[in-house]
Amino acid sequence: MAKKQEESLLGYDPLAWMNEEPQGEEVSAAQEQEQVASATEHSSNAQVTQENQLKVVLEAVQNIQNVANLREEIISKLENSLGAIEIDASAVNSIDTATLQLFVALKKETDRLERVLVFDFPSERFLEAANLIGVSKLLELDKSASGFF
Amino acid sequence: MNARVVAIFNQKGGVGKTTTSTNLSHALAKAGKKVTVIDFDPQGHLSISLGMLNRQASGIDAVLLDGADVSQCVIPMRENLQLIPSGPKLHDIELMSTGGAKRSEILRHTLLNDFQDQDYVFIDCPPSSGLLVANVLFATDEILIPMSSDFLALQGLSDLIKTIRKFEQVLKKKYKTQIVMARYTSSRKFSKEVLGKLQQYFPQQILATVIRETAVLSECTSFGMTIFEYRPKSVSANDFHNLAKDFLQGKVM
Ligand SMILES: Nc1ncnc2c1ncn2[C@@H]1O[C@H](COP(=O)(O)OP(=O)(O)OP(=O)(O)O)[C@@H](O)[C@H]1O
Ligand SMILES: [Mg+2]
Repeated sequence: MAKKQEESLLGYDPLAWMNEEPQGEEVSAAQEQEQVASATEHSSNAQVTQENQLKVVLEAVQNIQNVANLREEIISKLENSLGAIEIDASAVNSIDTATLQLFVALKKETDRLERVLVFDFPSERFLEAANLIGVSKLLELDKSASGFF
Repeated sequence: MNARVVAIFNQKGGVGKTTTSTNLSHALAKAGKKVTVIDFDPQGHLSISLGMLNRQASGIDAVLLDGADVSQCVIPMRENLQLIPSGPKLHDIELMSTGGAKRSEILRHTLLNDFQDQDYVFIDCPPSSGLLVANVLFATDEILIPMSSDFLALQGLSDLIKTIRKFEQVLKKKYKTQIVMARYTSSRKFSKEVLGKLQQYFPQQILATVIRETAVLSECTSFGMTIFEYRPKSVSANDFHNLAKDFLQGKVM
């Protein structure tokens, strides 16, 4: 990594991220199951949400500190409606593994329930992070990425 | 036999893409290989470097936009070396919002079918990662990345690799990727460190010969000459001669 060696003239190593590849931070199966389990045990306080309220807008910084709130928000939308859950990922500047793990768990759960979970306008950063830990395919981000053409 | 098609690509400007395209292709042509270079940069620097001054001649722009035949726009430049210029309309493609996929298909089809008599086709890419480059990355499977020996080039390479990965993921293919140190300032200690970093992250992917930074290489362009014509006895001619050998033999560091 960007370890400063003796008499190195290079302050920071822009390629250090490559050491994390391939899929160094891969979501482990155990962690995944845990996420799914906790994602499903949520109690429903039945109140049907309107279709147009099924949009979840991600914040610029998504990390372990707000992942719990995010999870609550998505699950309540999931439980109180039947429409597609749209996650607007356009503003994301920074996203961590915990949040991406949450999405992986949710994606599996929505697939199982035959519900739709889509990411709208994922930002470069969001795509990069998902690519880095190897979940873009699972999250079906390929379509958004191909907007690059 | 199909030609081996290589995109000479680095979105960072001034790292030596055109200089490498010019002199590596001429070195290979001198070694008896049949080589085509495609000027995929609307600035047309490759054409100028080879001494082609007619900027209105249509080229790859006509192939992509008007369905022109490749045979109509190849220009023989040296023995065994032919050029397809960018053409005056190539710039328009960068700004078009539709038809990208179709043009990529045309390019891929052209590269697969229209160069059967050639050994190598090099594509000199523009310094961007816009639509033109997307077309090239769609249509090719091999990339040669020229690098200079400074920090920002290293930073740029990090972004470049991410771009390549993205394409690999979307297109579900893996590029053969090689690097050439095309502007190596041997007098600076820092250059050695940059090269060391490259070796660390890209083992077996850097062509063994380093092209040193020299005055003659920057001079020959204005004469429309390759280094083999301008200063055939110079260290730079020797560097490119060796680089061509590495390229042919797959000699890497
Ligand atoms: N090894 C070298 N020694 C000295 N000058 C060089 C060397 N390589 C390239 N140059 C000079 O540096 C400038 C930029 O090089 P070149 O045009 O090959 O880069 P490029 O990557 O094609 O640039 P662009 O991104 O604008 O297309 C030119 O003036 C060229 O003559
Ligand atoms: Mg150039």
